[in-house]
Amino acid sequence: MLLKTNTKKLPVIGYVEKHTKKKMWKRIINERELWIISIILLVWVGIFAYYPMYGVIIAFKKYIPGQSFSQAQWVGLKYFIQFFNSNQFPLVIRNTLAISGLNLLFGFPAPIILALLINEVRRKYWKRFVQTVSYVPHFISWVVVASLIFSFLGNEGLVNTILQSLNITTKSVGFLNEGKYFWGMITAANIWKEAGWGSIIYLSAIAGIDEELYQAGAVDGLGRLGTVWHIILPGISGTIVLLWILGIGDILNAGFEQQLLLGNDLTRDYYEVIDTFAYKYGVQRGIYSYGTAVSLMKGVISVSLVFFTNWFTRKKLDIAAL
Amino acid sequence: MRNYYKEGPASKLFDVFNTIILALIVFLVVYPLWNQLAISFNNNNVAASRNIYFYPKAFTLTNYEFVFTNSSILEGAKVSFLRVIIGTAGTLLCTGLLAYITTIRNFSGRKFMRRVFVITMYFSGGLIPTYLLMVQLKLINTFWVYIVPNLINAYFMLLIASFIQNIPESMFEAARMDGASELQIYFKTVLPICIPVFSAVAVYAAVGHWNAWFDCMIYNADGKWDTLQIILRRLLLEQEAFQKIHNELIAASKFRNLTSEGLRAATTMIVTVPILCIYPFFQKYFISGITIGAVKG
Amino acid sequence: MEVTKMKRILTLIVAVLLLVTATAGCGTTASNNQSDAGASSAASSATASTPANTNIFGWAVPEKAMEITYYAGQDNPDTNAENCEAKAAYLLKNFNVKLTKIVYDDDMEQRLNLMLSSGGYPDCIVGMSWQEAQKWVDQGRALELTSYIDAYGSNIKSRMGDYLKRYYTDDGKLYTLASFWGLTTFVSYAPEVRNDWYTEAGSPDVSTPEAYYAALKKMAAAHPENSSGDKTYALGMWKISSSRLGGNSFINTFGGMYGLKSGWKVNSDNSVNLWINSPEGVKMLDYLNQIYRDGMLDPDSFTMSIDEWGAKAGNERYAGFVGSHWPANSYSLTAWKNKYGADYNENMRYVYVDVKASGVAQSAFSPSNSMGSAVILTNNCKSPENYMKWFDFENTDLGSKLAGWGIPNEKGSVWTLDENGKWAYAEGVEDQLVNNIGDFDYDAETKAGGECGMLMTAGVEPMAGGGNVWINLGLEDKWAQAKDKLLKDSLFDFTSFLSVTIPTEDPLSDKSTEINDIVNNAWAKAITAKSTEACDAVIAEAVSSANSAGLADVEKYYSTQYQKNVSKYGK
Repeated sequence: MLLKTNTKKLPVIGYVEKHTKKKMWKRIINERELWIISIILLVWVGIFAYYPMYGVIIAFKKYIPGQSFSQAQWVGLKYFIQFFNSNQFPLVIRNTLAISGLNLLFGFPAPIILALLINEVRRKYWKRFVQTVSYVPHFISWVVVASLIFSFLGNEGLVNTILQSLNITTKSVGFLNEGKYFWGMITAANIWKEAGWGSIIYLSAIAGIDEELYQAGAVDGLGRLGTVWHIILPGISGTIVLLWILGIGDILNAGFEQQLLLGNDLTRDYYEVIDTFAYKYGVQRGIYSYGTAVSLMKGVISVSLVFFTNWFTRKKLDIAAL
Repeated sequence: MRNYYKEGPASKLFDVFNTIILALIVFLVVYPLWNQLAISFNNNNVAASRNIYFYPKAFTLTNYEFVFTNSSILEGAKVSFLRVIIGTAGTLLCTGLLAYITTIRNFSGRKFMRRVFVITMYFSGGLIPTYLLMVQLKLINTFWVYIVPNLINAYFMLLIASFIQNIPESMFEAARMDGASELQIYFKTVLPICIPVFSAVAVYAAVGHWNAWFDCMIYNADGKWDTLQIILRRLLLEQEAFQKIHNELIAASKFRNLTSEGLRAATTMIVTVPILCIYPFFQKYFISGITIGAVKG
Repeated sequence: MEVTKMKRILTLIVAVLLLVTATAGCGTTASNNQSDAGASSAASSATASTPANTNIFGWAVPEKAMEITYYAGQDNPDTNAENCEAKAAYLLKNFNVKLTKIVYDDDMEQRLNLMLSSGGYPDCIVGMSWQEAQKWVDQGRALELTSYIDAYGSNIKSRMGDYLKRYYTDDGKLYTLASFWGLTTFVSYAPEVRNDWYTEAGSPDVSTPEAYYAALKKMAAAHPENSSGDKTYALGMWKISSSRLGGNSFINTFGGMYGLKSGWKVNSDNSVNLWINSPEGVKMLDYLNQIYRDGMLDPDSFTMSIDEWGAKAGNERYAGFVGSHWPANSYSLTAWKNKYGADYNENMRYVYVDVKASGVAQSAFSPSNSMGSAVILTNNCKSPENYMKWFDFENTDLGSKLAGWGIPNEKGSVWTLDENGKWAYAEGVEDQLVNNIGDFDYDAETKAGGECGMLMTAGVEPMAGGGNVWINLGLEDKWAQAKDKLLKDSLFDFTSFLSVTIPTEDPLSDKSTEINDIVNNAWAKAITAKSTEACDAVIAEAVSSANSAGLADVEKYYSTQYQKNVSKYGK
């Protein structure tokens, strides 16, 4: 998302209205090259993004694959009500909020802490090495990560082998088979994969702190910890607050691939989130209307959250996120 | 950064502590891959893979030999490679152009264009209408289904536009005075200046293209344009690995000592090592690109 | 400076890109040329033998190449292409039939829905569940076959006899045919024990579930670890996701010990209850829960794939097995023969035992007859008569052999056919199938097209001459014969139930999907519960959520339909 503070740079709204029709035409003719480019781009977005949107009407219809959308019978809010009444609803909402909540709680501070630790390293090459290594997992696909997790945490995986050979447990621990481990596992996997990558933004924010502040701090007698607490953290607080708020706007996006790849029947009560639920009914089982209704509901809530946070940051913090 | 604060013993102690912590983090990142590397070189029938921690106990190359000779992994890599290059280049050029025209201050349609695309970040028509569209456009079972629908990305547009907005307007004005068309300005002025942000977006786009498998499964199910990830999914998660050995066992006793763990590890290595070799060279560019927003925040 | 560096990298990328596209381009042109050449040579050979004649298979070779294109579900497209290559070339040359088998590497149900939505599907679809086929028929996407079968299907008619009636609608129309239909005399599902361990343990009693488990425990205790030091279990299963209400092969076979039929409890008035909603189902789950809590059920049973299970079975990790026979044998026998070489003895195999709970008169493991899987011709099909001719051919003796055994007379073929139409097993095949089942080269059979071109295969019921699409069916080894004798009575006829489908428009169809999810989930959760009470609580909770999702309505629907079918066709 675009992070910018200078709202004065935003385009002047209502520019066109100030002109008369004639002037407007003249202007468009003057801008013809831009409009030709725009039209090409609009054709693309019209075809690939807007045209398929007519499909959301099937959320309000009982669509059976093979019918045309207009043939399908109207059912109003039936599928929305079915979702709210389904015994899966509380579970799906709980899991979505729990997984993204844990991500905010632990996955959010992880890159900040990592950035602070890396920043304190004095030897330049060690610093570069740690940074380079920490980005690696970002480039590894979830498919591979899932395979790594299976070979480490499976019933006969490395961790269980070690636990048993040290006589910590006698039976293997079902990290992948017991729901109670799932949230922890997926949070840890998210941190493993993205903490290093996330630290980039904080490290560069730290690099942007004015050198004079450090000098002033030293004059005031700040020690090492004091420097972190009174200079560095306030220096990056803008970035932290902004990303936190954006994270809250994303709270319904608790992941999709991770759950599909790592979840199984035994952990379903803990992994099923809105996106996987919509996929399961909407795509795999072919009840497209149901899946569309669930996705639509999620989309509406997400957009409201995004616009709310955007409004909030602009009004209260003078930061525009969009 | 120079240190202005006074050094105390606690500070020295912290350095030790910090080194240990970071070493531990490095270990946590590297070890899983290292372990797989060891397993991939291990003859898992001689020494069970579960007892391999740091180095192979009975060295063999058969796992790699098997993966290369018995799977379409190279074919898939070729498709993925093409996809990443063409897809990333296409996305950069088209999204960059869009971002540029949304920043031209005198352009009356800039806000409209921007909004039209931002909305697409939050709403989509869902799978079925999109699938039907691809059928109508005859993109099913073609390579272009990976490229064309991904040409413009609203999020990247925002990222690039924020960078362009910080370039002094006078640079473009000067070009316009000289009679350059907007496309010329885009290619001759905007592109070179925007290299930091383009390289950051390129990394995002390339990683996205490299890791995508869902569109391949839905749109190109006939297997002609299988990407690496879809082949990986088959090999790593759907256990085709073992089925393959099982068939081959009968035919060729040479591969008798293979296990699915070994094959999976070899496959993991084959797809991970190239990335590890390439990305450090781009590190500098994507870091500077990602930094753009942050520093001003 | 940065800019120039970046430019250099870009130039490099562009250069590589050009190289790759160039090679890719070469690759495609080359292969195009090849296929063109192949087609033209085949065409010329076809023109050489132009006069409409009948080949040794008894197939009237058409003047114009006949196209047979069908979609057969989920498989790896690359493997499929490899396996069909020889067969397709053979058919084009000798039959003037252009056979194309299409498979996609994604879930069949998902793919069929996409096909329906887009209208893009081939002439023929095979291997559908009856519920899926119903969806196509309901929407007029399946051709009516009534007149075509009358005109071209004489072999089908005589072979299927009265059985064919089941595929007609109430108003006497035929839309679906079936592959793998028919009566079987062989048992494919049951509990098994590893024979050498079993005899070593003194062949203890296994007649009740409890005794069976005690025996397995004893056997596993004698072999607590395999040669690489991995723990041995009494039983293991693999993950099955079944979209059909009524469970998977494990539920069906364990349920069979308690008298459930294909995951359903059939009451005396022919009303039915889903297994989880029956006392027998609860007993079965408590039993499995006990095994799990003892640490004797492989904890990966709900997550591993059949191949992972096979790897473990091959590594001697299981004392017994409950479920379908072929994976148990095909995975373990080969592996053990390889491992032990000369030390292998024929008792190293899983053999069937009969297990029934007290109070159950007869265990019910395998349905003795099968509706098979549905075959339809879609409304995209322009020449249904060609397909019907081909179906009919597959129901002749030589036709079914060609379909299921692959092409004859070539390297790797499992059978031969002389100019007079007399067939024989290829050398050594008979011996392999009767005496050394693990030596049979299934891979060669597959490469000869043994899995390609079975559209409406001849069913499981043997031909008059004993032949069948399954090469080993007429030639069973003594173990298989002993199995079929022992478990003869565990076969049960359930066609009248298995053919029940819910119309797509009916709200029950959505409900049954939801119930199926609840129940499948409960299966794993109940077995892995911490105590019997916890297990029963999981069941009770699942039943109550299934009830609120409409279980009673679904059961009622199935009961009514079953009763109707029973009065029509008998049990």
